[in-house]
Amino acid sequence: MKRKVLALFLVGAMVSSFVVGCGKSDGTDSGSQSESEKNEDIVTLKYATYRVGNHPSAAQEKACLDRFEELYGDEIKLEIEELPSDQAYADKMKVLAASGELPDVVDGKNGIKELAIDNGQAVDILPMLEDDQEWKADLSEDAIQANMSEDGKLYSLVALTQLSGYFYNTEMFADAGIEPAKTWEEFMDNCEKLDAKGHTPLALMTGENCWATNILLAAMIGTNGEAGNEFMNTKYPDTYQTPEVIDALERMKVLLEKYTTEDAIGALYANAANNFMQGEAAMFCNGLWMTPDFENPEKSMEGFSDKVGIAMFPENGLMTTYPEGWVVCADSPEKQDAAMKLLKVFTDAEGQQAAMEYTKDVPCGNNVEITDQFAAENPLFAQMMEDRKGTEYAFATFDVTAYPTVVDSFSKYYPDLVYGNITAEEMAKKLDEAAESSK
Amino acid sequence: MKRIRNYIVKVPTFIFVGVIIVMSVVPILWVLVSSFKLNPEILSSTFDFPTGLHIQNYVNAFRVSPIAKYYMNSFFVSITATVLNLVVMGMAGYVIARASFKLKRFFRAMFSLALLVPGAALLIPLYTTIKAVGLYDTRLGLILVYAGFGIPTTLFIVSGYFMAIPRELEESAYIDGSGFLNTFIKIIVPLGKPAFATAGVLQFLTCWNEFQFAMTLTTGHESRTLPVALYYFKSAFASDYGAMFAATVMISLPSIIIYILMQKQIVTGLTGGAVKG
Amino acid sequence: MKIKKKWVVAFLVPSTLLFLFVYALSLVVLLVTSFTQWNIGQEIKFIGIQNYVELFTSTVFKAAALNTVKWVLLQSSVHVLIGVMFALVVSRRAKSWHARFARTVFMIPNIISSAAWGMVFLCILNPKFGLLNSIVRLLSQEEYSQNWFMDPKTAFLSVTMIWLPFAATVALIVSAEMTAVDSTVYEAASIDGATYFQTSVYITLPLMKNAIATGTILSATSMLQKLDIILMTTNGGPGTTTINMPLLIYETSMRENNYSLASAQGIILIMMGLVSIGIINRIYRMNKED
Repeated sequence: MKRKVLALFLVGAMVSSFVVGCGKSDGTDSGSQSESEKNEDIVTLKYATYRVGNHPSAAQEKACLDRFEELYGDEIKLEIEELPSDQAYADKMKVLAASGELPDVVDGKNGIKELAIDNGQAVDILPMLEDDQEWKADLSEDAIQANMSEDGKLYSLVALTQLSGYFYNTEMFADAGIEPAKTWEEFMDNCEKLDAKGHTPLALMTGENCWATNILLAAMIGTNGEAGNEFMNTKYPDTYQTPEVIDALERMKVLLEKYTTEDAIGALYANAANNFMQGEAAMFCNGLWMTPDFENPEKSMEGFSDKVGIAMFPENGLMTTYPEGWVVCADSPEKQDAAMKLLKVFTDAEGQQAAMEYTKDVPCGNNVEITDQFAAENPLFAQMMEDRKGTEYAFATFDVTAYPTVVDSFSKYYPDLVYGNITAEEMAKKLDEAAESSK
Repeated sequence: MKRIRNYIVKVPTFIFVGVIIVMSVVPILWVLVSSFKLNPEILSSTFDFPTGLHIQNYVNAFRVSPIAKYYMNSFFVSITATVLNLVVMGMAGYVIARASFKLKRFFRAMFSLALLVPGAALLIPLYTTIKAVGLYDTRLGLILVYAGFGIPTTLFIVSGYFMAIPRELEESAYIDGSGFLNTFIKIIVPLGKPAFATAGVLQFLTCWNEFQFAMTLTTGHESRTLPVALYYFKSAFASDYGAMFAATVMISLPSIIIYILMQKQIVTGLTGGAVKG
Repeated sequence: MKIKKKWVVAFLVPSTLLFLFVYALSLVVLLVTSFTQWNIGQEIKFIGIQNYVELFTSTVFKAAALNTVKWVLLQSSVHVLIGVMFALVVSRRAKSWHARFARTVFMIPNIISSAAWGMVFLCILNPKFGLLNSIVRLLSQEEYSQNWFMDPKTAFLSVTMIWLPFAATVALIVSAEMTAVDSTVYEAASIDGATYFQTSVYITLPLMKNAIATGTILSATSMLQKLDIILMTTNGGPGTTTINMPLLIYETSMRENNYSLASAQGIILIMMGLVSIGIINRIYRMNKED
């Protein structure tokens, strides 16, 4: 008998510990429910973000969210889920997308937008945007078009233009007696001259998403005649086995073999950026948002910001793309309305202004004034604004046009290409295979 | 002659342990030294000592990430999950080691499956399960999941240990008229202390370091654990490795202390001759 | 002595419930969806064994399966051997400060989170400034540059070295089991004039059979879960040199969004694991009460 009592007690203790735990969570749930019942007009909006911690846009995001709180704090309760690191964000969004439970507002990058459309959560925001002409005027038609689906629906909105030429070390260029190249032959020639003077020409990296390397690859393809340019502006191209891609891969092989740092193969963005900012390589392809780092003594060598120049790619090429931006996944009209208010805070003229000031993002619309003071404080930014007027070839990057599996394949097969295990043709074929697996 | 023979054994032993220790020490030192370095120093120097003692990495770790908040969560989740796992699997491990019943092989095989289910395949189903029982974004949800992750490890260690110790002690207890449960609590559990300490250490480490599920099964600061904090320094375009290593040092310290404490439990049995027939 | 059935049941119920709570749904989902076509936003369609057929014709799958087998073999041999040797050596003066120090230092690599551990190895093996290349340069006084992680010749070995030597878990399990051994056995042996080495090999080791088997199973199956550190260092490359089953499953489900194909891969991974455990059990004759 005694034993049975003891056994019962043991089981009871375990069960009750479970129940107590559940009870706790139920308690907080019902608590918040009753609270929202009290103020029926308060809408709860869920928003997931990776722009936290060390992310370059963290300060900008905070400024926007503060503004949102100020404007709508008494009618909309924003529940923010912080997902530090880009990969963790993508992973969790995919789990939520599979369950049809994406938060009300998400960033659509890394294929999240497509999943939100596929699982039926993404909302066509065009009608709601049309209702607010003032806001729409802040956005450029190009940026809206870039995110428009084939069926004329708008599932995401972005307010920045991603521009990238390359940064270069003016001292090294002067030492080698060269100017930013006008043609690709000249570009290769410049590399040779830099190399002859003992400067490593390029900071490249093939780890992560091959960011800096693939901007350069995209530039080679995107400035290679009409066919190449069209290829680099096509989302999910039919095949990578085109003459332009193979040419560019062959040239990239030479660059990776001869004209970059020893650690470029497999390097992370951080390695390549550091090589450039510590004066160990002469050129680095990246967007303007990197410019604050040049003045940061914790990242760049002393006086580095005075030595950095910015240039367009040969043939007046400039990477010009619009990322996916924010997607609305809210289900009820009230929440959709609240979500649009959040999007507006991020993307209207004031939101673009914040992006420009904090992150040095290029605003997509014309309603943001670039003051003389801002231009003086950000000479590289100002010069890029001036240069871009002469763009002959505008092209997107692979992160926007290719499936995530293709981007991943680049990092896997660049080493094989450089170590001579595969040819450029074979690599293009591997990219096709990767694209096929995503279709 | 005996001395020479002694050296033949001793020298390779010394080399073996030496190599192993050096291989472990170098990366550990590397983490520690880097936690006082700036990003460029980490990314361009080999093994130099930092130019100055950059304590600010530790300050940044607290400033940028919610690490302080997560400490409490991590302790609560890891300790509770470890205790739960040890209680539940200690019971199972004992009967599987000692009792004879038909489905024994089945149970062993079933619990072994837990070693084999790939993490990526668990994500969505576990999210669904946890959500369905209302434990999403709660520490209890994480506790149950982590206790579950440790099922096979604890089972193997505990049942293996019980198989190895002589039966005489329990049997004499039974002969003295002690009941099953009483014997289990008063004799078996103290006897199995080294096994419980070992399994406990491994289980604690699993809980303390787990990232993917901590991220997937929670949304807010109230239930998240330390490994999530580490990722606040890992942004694709702006990683702060100095702060990340500083956070790593701070996150690892409690585990190291717990390991040292538990190790005593494991070793005391060793010369104490706990079990004599 | 026989333990009454009701106690067996009572002692197995909590663990079974916990197991089912965490794993039941996953196992069912894995098994069922592996025979279907399942993409987000589409109806689930039953397609028989088509996923499996697709797998066995895929070169990436073959590479991943082969690498996984290689790593399982290495881990259940070399890794376990290192752990067992360490446990034997250190147990000799278990309570001395240097034994305690050695055990603690050896354990720390298993304590540090893999996000930091991966970064450490990326830096130590970096071809430009990494410690390893610097040492080689210093010793050989020559220009030397080896890209350990990215050269197809050294990638597999480099990744292996991130985990192969750090066998503290095995050592820990074996050390714990040593406490179960009646210490009179050692005393008797030393009276007979046996050296420590002889005692270890002929007396301690056979008694440690269960613990070594446990360590082997845990080491072997840990290779069926290794993901984050590969993702950080080589991402499975160059080409398919360092891809393994967990990474393949991760890529198929998280990058290709092909959940049903990932399920089929998962089922095969589980099969591989069951076979490994079966073989290890047979080798060590576990489950046999003498």
